[in-house]
Amino acid sequence: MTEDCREIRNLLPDFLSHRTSGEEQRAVQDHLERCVSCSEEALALKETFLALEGAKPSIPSETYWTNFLPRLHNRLSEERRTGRELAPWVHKFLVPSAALIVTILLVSRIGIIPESKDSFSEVRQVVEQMSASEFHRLAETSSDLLVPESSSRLEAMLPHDEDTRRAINSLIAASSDEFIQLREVNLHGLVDSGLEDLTDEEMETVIERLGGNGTL
Amino acid sequence: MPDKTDEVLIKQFQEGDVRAFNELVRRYQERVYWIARRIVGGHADADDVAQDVFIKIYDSLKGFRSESTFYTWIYRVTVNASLNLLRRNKIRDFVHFDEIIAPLLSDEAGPDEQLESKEQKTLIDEAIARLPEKQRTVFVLRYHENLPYEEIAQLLKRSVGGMKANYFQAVQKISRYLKESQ
Repeated sequence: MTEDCREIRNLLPDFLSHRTSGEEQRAVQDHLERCVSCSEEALALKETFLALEGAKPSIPSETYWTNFLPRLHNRLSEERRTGRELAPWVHKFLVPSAALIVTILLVSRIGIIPESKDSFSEVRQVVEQMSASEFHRLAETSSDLLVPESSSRLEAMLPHDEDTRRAINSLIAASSDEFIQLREVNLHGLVDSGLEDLTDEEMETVIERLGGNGTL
Repeated sequence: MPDKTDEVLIKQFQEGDVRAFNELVRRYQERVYWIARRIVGGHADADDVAQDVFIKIYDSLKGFRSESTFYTWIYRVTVNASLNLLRRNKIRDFVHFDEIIAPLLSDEAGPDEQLESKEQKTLIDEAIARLPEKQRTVFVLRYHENLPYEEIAQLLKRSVGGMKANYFQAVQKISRYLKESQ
């Protein structure tokens, strides 16, 4: 399969559902006229689109939509009543910090980062200075940390836990390249930590804020 | 409040008017539900996600700044919540009894075409449920939601080229699964 074939194949689903631009449509048509392999692929995909169009999902009843909002308010009242909402300071500081600490722990488990001098307080200070949006991004996908018990555990862990301290020190000692490399490691933990969802630019900002001079 | 824009409703909610939030829910509940339903597969899970999304919106809307449109934000929250649920339940690793197996075991009589259509739908559900989560998400956002690749790429923080490749791979996998199962 040529590079041309790869590019055309990526356009096939849109071509078959009439969503390509005029230029793209002509390019696909021209290619299909001279490429048997891509034509066969197009034919198979066409059948799939026909099958997809014929398969309608079961639709919720009208009552479901009518009850949606009252049920939502019931849940909101219930959550307020049982006090499951976290205090604002938890959202602002503890949860994002916890997300970062967990990330660091996960990163350190991979074993790529070397250890270095104790700089726990320095990192903590930097963490405190991170912007709300940086915090938010780190915390966003770590929904499990929103469970109050987890937050309490992590709060207790912050100043005392030796492993955390060591992990943070390790992170400080790693170079930017090493840290960026870690993003490529497809571990569920890292994915869940939210790092995987950061763009390169956001990642560089985090690294810069953590290291000050471009290194961790 | 039929003519008010999202921005106006958000501002009203931020000033304490809960009716504005209700209007936003009514405006987006079906869209949120269907995005979730198509990513997570079943009605019960989609309902959980949809409720969770609006609870999160309720909790966060006070601090919402119009850096992105509400519509983009709600998409992002819904996709993230759906993917989180998938990860928690590992939905792709098992088959829903109620939505996939049960219809096959049903005693309900019907014309052949109806049965064929039901089996076809089941196969398609299975094929989609087996897609890796990124491909499944791209498939839902492109095929069902008809979002431009640029928006999908922005939502998932990936390149446009990558999204096109993911969409093709998703359709190709569905196609192969249907072929192998028939």
